[in-house]
Amino acid sequence: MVFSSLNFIFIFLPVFLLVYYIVPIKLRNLCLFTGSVIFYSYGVITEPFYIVLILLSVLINFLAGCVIKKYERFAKTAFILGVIYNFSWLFIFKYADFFAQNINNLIDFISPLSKVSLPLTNLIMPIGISFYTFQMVSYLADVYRKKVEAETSIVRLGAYITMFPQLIAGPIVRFEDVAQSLKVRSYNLKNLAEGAKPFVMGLGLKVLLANQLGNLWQDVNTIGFESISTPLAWMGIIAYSMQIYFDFYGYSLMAMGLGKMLGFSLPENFNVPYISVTMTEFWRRWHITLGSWFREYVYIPLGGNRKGKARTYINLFIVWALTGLWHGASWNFVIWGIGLFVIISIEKLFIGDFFNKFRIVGHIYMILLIPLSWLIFAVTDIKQVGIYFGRLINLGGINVFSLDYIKYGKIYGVLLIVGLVMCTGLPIKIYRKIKDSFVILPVMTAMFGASIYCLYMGLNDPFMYFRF
Amino acid sequence: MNRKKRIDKKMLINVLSVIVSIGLLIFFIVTATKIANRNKVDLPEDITDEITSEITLTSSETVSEDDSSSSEADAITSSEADSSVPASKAEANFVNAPEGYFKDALFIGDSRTVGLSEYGGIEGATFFCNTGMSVYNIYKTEADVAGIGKVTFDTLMTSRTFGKIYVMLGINELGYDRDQTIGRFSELINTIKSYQPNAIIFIEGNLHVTASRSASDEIINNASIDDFNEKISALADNKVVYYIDINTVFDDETGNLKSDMTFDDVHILGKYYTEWGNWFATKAIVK
Repeated sequence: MVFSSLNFIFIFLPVFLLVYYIVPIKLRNLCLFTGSVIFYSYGVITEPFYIVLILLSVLINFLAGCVIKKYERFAKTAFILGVIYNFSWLFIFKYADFFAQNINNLIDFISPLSKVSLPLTNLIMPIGISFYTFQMVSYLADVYRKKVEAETSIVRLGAYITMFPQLIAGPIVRFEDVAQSLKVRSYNLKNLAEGAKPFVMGLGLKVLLANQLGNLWQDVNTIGFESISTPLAWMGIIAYSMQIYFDFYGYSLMAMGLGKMLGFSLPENFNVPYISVTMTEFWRRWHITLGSWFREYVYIPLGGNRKGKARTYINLFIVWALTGLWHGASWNFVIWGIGLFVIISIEKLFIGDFFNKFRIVGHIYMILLIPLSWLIFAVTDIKQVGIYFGRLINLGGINVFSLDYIKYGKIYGVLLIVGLVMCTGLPIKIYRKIKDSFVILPVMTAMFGASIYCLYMGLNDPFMYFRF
Repeated sequence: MNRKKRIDKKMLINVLSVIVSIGLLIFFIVTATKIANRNKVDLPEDITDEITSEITLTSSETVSEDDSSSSEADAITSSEADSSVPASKAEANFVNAPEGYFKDALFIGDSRTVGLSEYGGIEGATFFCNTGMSVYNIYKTEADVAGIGKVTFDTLMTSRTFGKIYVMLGINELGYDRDQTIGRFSELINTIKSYQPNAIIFIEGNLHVTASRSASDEIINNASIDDFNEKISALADNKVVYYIDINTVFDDETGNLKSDMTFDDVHILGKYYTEWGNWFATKAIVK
């Protein structure tokens, strides 16, 4: 189930909030756990095993946490086994086929006549596995290094892992963010109202902006990259950049809003990333919880920047290659991640300070770099990436309709302009000013009504980060 | 004095905000009720006004709404639509198009015809098409015709004479009652004949979708398209009205659109439209 669906907004959420209100406070975590599993079941109804899987994972991680806490001697073993358990499932579902295909290609290359080949599983990934795996590993790591106390109640741990605001697509919540709230939190009208604001804002961003701009990217794909004009090529990749931002940012806002309604304070995931002047800055503002997960559980344990310059760059390379790979089991994602490493390293070594100082130049630099970096992310076929790059600088081109950008400019022009404005820091400044006053009411009503209208008319809702 | 002014201003903003919110709420509720009521009407031509999710370039599903007479009830035979005609009809003598053949040609259709107008390279032809066009809304549609501007079908028919008129409609209507749709289609052909008595009319078989789309869509699938194409091909008499079918060019061995020729499973990529355009030139009729 997606947050931006009529089923969720008008059926699941009201029913859940009502039940949540009625049950005695002591049973609220159980209610949250159960409700979240039901929410999850709706999305994996064709693969009931995935429900078993997530429940099993809660159990295993709970037990591992208990062992780490109670038995000093077995703490390390339990931690390692727990981490292996968690990552194994992620590997099987997400990376096994990628691994097998590459091994097969290698075998074919070395001995073309060999009939040996690894079988492909062709499994469908359980929804949210990339997120909840990282969440569970962070829990075990924090318990192991004694940053948090292992959770003594399996219901509370289950509520932490499965809570529906963040189960499907993050933010990646650390246990310490919610440990207190799991024990004591308030559920009242004030929180409901406070949470409703980011929820409605996020819904609007997703349905009114992301989904619609996504149509332009779809149109560009439907025409085929060889046949788009250069202006349309730029429009397309800018539309994609905006779609992916508003889609994920919108979803994260909805998650935060829902968490707030239930009494939890979930972390921010985005901080106006498109106003960054360097790629380094960008990744401190984009998908913040993922970046901080990699910093906390990979970069720093590897030594961070404390083991000399060469080692720092090796560590950075590992972090970025893994970040790329986390986004998808395909070489274009790895290339994308490594590309980011190269850019960030160059910034670190040479030009970062320059852009920080001369911010206007930095902005121009990023306005070009952001869509280009998303291109490698968006298109999985390397050859197609090449074709697209060609069209961006008016190379290649087969059977181009030269006035296509006028046609699509008419259709999407307003949206693109609104999108550009929404990428700046201005909207959030305005929002902060009005959110505690009555003025927010008509804004929210308009956004909500327009979003529901769009959802009802069945206009596209491709949730992009779903394949994680 | 100042403080009172500020309080008054704030009160005013608050009251205005609440009023605007209530106004918006009422507006949305009224709109929702209107939409809900419209969808209860049975006749397809009333529904098509509201349909925004026809085959667009994003290939969303055709809305078949509350149609009580679903086309699923029709026998869907998967006979291959081709240009062979029953024995009672004369043979169609297609020839290669001479120079300038398409200067007096008119292409009527939906988003695939839009693609032809933009990428097909058919020199000199006129196009009356838009995304979502169907036999149910064609008379109410205003389409942008190059050299003329935004016109309705009737205006276009009365303002120009055409030597040949191509029609490709059907995919947006797959969800409606088959007999009713074919009836409308037939009416359209007769209307064209009466407007343009000297024109040769080409009924184009609707382009197939890919195997994967066909297998996953209850309404838009090749069995239904084939059935539709078969029924409209029967309208051809090979004297004034001919039937041509592009699917022989773009189909794979299983009778579905080749999957590497499309991104969205419904429209071919821009670069393949020239092949389509060139194919028309092999199916010319010269009297």
